[in-house]
Amino acid sequence: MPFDKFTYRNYAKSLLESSNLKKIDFCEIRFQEDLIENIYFKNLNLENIYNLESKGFSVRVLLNGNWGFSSSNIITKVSILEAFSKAVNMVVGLPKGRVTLTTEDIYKDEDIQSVIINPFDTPISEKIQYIKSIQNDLLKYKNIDFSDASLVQVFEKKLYLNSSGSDIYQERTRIYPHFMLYKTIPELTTLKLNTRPVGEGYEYFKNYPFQEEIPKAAENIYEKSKAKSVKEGKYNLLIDPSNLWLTIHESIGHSTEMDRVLLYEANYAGSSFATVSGMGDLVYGSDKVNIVGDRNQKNGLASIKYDDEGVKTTQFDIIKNGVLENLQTNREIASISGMNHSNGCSFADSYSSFPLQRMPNVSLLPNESKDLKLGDMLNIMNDGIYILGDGSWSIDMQRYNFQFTGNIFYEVKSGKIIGMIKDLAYQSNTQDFWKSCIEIGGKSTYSLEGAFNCGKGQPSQVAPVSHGAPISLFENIKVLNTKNEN
Amino acid sequence: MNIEKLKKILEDNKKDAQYYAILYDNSEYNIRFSDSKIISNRVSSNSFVEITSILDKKVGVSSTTDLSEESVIKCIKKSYSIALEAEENEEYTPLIEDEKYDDSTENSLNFEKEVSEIEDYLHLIFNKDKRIKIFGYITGEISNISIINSVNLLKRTTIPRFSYSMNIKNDKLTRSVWRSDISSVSNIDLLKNIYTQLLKDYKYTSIKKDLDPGRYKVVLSPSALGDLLMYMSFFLLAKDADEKRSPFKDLLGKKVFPEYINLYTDPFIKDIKSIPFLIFDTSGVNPIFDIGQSLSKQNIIENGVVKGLISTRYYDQKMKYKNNLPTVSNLILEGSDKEYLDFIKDIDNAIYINNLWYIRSVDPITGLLTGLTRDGVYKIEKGRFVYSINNFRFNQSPIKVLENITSFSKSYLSTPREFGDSFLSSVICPYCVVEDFNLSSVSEAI
Repeated sequence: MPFDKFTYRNYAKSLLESSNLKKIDFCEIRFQEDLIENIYFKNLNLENIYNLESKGFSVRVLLNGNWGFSSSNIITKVSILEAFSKAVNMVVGLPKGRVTLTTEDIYKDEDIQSVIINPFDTPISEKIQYIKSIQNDLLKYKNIDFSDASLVQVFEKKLYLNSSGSDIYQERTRIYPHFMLYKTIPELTTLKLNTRPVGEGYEYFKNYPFQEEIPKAAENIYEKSKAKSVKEGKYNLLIDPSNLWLTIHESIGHSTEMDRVLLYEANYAGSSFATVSGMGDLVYGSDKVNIVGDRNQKNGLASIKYDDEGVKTTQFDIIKNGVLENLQTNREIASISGMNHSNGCSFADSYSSFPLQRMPNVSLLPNESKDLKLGDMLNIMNDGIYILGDGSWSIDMQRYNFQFTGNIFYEVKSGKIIGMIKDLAYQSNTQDFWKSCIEIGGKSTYSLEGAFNCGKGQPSQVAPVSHGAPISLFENIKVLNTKNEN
Repeated sequence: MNIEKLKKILEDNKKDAQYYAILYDNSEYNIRFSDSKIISNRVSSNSFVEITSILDKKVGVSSTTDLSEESVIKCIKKSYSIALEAEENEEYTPLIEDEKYDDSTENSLNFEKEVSEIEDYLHLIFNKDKRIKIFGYITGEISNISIINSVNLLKRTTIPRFSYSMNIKNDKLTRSVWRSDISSVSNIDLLKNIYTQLLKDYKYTSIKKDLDPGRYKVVLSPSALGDLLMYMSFFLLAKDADEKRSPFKDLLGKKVFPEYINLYTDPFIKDIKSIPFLIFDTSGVNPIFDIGQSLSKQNIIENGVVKGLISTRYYDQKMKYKNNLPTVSNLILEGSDKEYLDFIKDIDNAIYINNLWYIRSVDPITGLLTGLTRDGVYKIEKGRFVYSINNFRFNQSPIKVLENITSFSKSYLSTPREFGDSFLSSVICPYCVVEDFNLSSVSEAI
């Protein structure tokens, strides 16, 4: 059955306009459909094509400061009433809870993301042939023994209504082509192509410059396999946005989630070193560091006009000139902290998921005063290591201690790239790292990267999110040799 | 929708395709609490059907949560159309024929009674001692899973799972302890026992000392070891090993570990129910033609020898492998007959690690992992916990961990901290002494 927003809206209204609502303080209903198509290749073998259609609704009620939540994949007027009753029964009789909500504007709106080519309108056979042609091009090179390829495409529809009167329908599309290359002699060497997950249509994949990148990738994997192993020590690091996005995500994105600050995730994802009282005060990094949260960013994976509580999204400062300015909020978290409004960071990953405070697109702003390019930044660094592409990542439960690897590492001497090195991980503490940021590249080096699968919550949910950054320079960072660590 | 009706719809609409179908039905409740307050109460009922159509070795898979007949027919047609457009899968293997299995039950969640009982108990302990903050997560779920195919396979099972986790911190957030438990039956006594044990653990954190990073003799809890072994299971693919893409390359059949290392998987272990047939594999192998395959007790490491890796029927036939396994339904590391407390009494000097967290692969050649210690790092001296220690980042391969185990206790059912949220991730592991464990740097986190 298609996602029938007119019928669903009528079902929801019949609950929201009924006398049942007198039993509770607030109610919201979210209908959600996710169409997902995954295609997997191992070398030239088409391993699997998986089409998933997930559709259902949830009812969330607030009663005496407690949330009750119920969901079902059966969408009827009766099942919505049953879900409402279950949600109420979860919380009726409980002692007064701590949940209050900020007062937000009421919206009646539709917002459909514009894409050039809806991935689900492109024939599967065309996608298969296109991926296979790329795999063929990759495997022509004797340096590439294996190539694992995947294409993940998502089309998301959400209809949100609440007892205050908001009524919002939205559609979003995202796509992630991914290619991992392997060279196995003399020992295993891996290299990722630079494709990234984006909030765009199939046009992103179709227009991606594979013909330019593939020959370079073949050279790079060979050079990486022959590269010398890094010597442990402290180095200046010039970090490309294709690597820095993940460091931003882990060390700034998650640690400035106010629900973590307020210990909501203490049993699972963890809390944060940041504090509510630190807003306007906590020195997070050098004065070069300016970070914004932005759910309106073009092609951002977390971009959307209204969040999953019907709050209009916005751009807001998180770190300004190195000082913590704001934390990310939803209605509950903002209210508990005495703020007047949520900054629109609520998200649920499926119809059956309890909406959580999730990350907007969190990005490092480029240098506004001068458009420093790669060559300029290499000269400023003089000696050090230039890192491209993401690899392994790990950070502690309060977001202090982190360790990242990467895709490609270059040794730099006197401002010149002299060759690849390998077996490298950088390890630091969040505030030490961002305070060591001594220069930020210009607009021309800015790139938006991201992930489909940021995890948080119990039961665990995943969220898509983008992070933009220019190329950036950090001084005196601890570098490990991963071979010596074992 | 039930499996009989689904079978009929499939037979009426399959055209010339072979097929298999999975019908999944789940009911669950979850309670989250933070800072001694309940923060969410969730109940959910979900079902989906997944249809795989196979046409001349070409495969299409489609699933839907809309179980109306009209929608299921659409799903069958979608899987058929995908198969039509697909290419032949070179690993095609004929479907499993004429197998039957049924241990399904009619059990359903009594969520209102159970939730009410849990919430009453939580409010009781929330108000007992205002100097501590209580956090945690409780979930109860019952999943019914049925599989049919076009060559007379029908298998059904019911997996109940009730898990309880709790974290206690002091009001200054300088001390933190965590425990969990899991069961196939709802049992609030497990939650009560966790609380009682945590109050004991909490006492160990009253004295805290700083320790520098380095390589230490450590005692890993079953949860900590379980997380490392769960991660290691991602390296166990036979094909990857043969292609030299895994740290297990060239290790099959070789004695790599001490002879007292015995690691196996067993869906019929009595401690916790697991799915007794293959529905998917979490480690990355593509078992598309093996869905429904019976699972049994299978050794991964036997007397220190790598006996079996994860593989498909296609690959085993091609390579003439005899001892591989279709998936890891749980992980069991054999321990000794020594109870936990007696085991600790024999340890003269070591660092105890309760949980590991944020574990990621660093080097696919060596299997090096990184991650953090969490919620319970203690110094053991002369058989006693004497004080707590700061947290660390570790860099350590799970293969090296197994190589460096020198003694262990009895094995206990446990939930790994990082992988514990999935009903596929039960572990039964001992407390074990591991030599030369690399605690690479200090983490300030509590």
